[in-house]
Amino acid sequence: MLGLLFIAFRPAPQVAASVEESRSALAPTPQASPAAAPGLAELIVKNATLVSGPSRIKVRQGDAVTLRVTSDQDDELHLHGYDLEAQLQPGVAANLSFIADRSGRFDLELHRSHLELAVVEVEPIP
Amino acid sequence: MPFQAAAHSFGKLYTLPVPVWMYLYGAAAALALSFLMIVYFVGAPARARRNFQTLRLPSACNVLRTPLLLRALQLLSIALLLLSIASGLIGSANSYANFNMTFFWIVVLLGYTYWCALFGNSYDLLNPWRAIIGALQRLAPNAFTGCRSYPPWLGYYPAVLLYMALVWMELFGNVHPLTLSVMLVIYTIISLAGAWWWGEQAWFRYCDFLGVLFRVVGRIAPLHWAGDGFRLRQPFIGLLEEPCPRPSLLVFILFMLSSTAIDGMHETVFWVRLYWYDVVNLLKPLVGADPARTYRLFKMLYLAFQSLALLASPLAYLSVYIALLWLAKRLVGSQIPLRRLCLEFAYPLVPIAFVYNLTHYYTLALGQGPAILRLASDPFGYGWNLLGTGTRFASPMLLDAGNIWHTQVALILLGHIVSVYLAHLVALRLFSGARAATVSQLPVLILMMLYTTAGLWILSLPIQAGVWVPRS
Repeated sequence: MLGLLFIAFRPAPQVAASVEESRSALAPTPQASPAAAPGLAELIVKNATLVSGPSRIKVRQGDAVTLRVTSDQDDELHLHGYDLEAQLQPGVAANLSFIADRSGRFDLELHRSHLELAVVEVEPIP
Repeated sequence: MPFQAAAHSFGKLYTLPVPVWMYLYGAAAALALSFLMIVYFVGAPARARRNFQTLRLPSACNVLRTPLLLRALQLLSIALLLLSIASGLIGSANSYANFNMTFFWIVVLLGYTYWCALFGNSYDLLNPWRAIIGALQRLAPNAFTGCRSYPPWLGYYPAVLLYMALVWMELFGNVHPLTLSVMLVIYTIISLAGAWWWGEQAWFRYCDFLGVLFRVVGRIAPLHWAGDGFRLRQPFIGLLEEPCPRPSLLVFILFMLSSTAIDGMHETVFWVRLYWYDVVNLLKPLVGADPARTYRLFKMLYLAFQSLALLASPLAYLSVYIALLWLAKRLVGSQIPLRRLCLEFAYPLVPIAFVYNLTHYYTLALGQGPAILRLASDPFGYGWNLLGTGTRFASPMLLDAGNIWHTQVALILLGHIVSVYLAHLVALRLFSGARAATVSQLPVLILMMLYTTAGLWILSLPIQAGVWVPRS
């Protein structure tokens, strides 16, 4: 009975559609630069505030991801869970590139400004 | 103006919301399992009346209760309390580098709860505040016999209030190592004063909320101390040993449920929008339209709104509880007073409350808990390596999101089915005849379905991303 319910409620994996969706989620918001490569999220910080770019970055497990962050202050960029760090210098874009091999919801933080910049949500492969 | 979503005081949750299809499946499965349970009991009501078997463990196990070992563990417990206070006062201000945050929030509040659920409540023996008072009593034997007798009407309400204060600090207090030390010092003073005023026995029975919490959770453990030796019993069955003694303890149990629900909910998109769209739009005509001024006001009111939600949450659970038990009483036409029914069905809620807690926090416990080995080696965050464990578990243990979802839904279902089972046993004991018991269980089933579905639903809510910018 449970098995039947499980099968009844389990939707067919819509791989193609989801990839499309995750691409669009990755693309920067309209006001950001139009030249967006797949797997790239660009975030711009001014006065310890996210002024441009997505605050929720959705990718699928296994995707190659690059987070490009530009701040107007010295800061330390940290992606929790993956424990990746990058130093930010004023006006210089820093790239954080990685393969999203762990699924989950990970905070992207600016340590010095104590800013939770965005979250990276890595959807598991079913 | 951006609004920083209030984060959980300590520990990053990395779980993704449960997908909607899995939530629906879980809710449907809970319903199906509930009816299977009814069928099981309709088939053979006598199953409920058998005596519960316990297995006596060899008396060699009693060595765990030798006074010498207990004394040593009590000393360790006091030492850990003092270390926690000291590390917050003189140690690193970084929550992840300081011993006390991981030790208190993760090891004691989560880890020890799960420990008690497996091995029974040992907190009454190891409670550091009780041990301190025990030591003081040796110097002054009559210091903690009580100045006044404990007023019976107070019941467990002091524990409820203290528990509420702790959860409030956890969610909204922005606790840092220093704050935690101050909290521990204040609680030490409160405990000493309370035990002096009402007597040690009454204080630790009714007011010490950690003791009350671990005692309630310890009832689900398969291992228990029977006075003369350890026994193994069916897990969860300890909840049927006696009915809940007081309404205030029922409120405490419901707060275990509702506080976890609020914690799970307060960072979700649903919750943030509930306030920043619905409540704010409702209030706007009253406050005026100047965005700069009103924003600050609304931000302050947000804390009031969240605090009120937390404090009122057990009442919401309680009103549903009383309404459905009233319905059960009417359906059966029972002469048993509603108050007694409410007390009888209180402990069977504990499995649901426990799995709420487990599903919300087990990833946190697994992710942050092992760091205690590293922190024990360097409690103040000075870069020491006293025990040689300084490099252990440098990066957190992360579980796969898909596994987490399945575990969460499975745990919620397990808690639900156990609660339904226990409630049915209580019903068979209370109402004469299997038919009356079965009929009475329909409202109780609805009650538990509501609690369980609420728990699943909260797990499935999308979480607010980083910064929330309210529209002016």
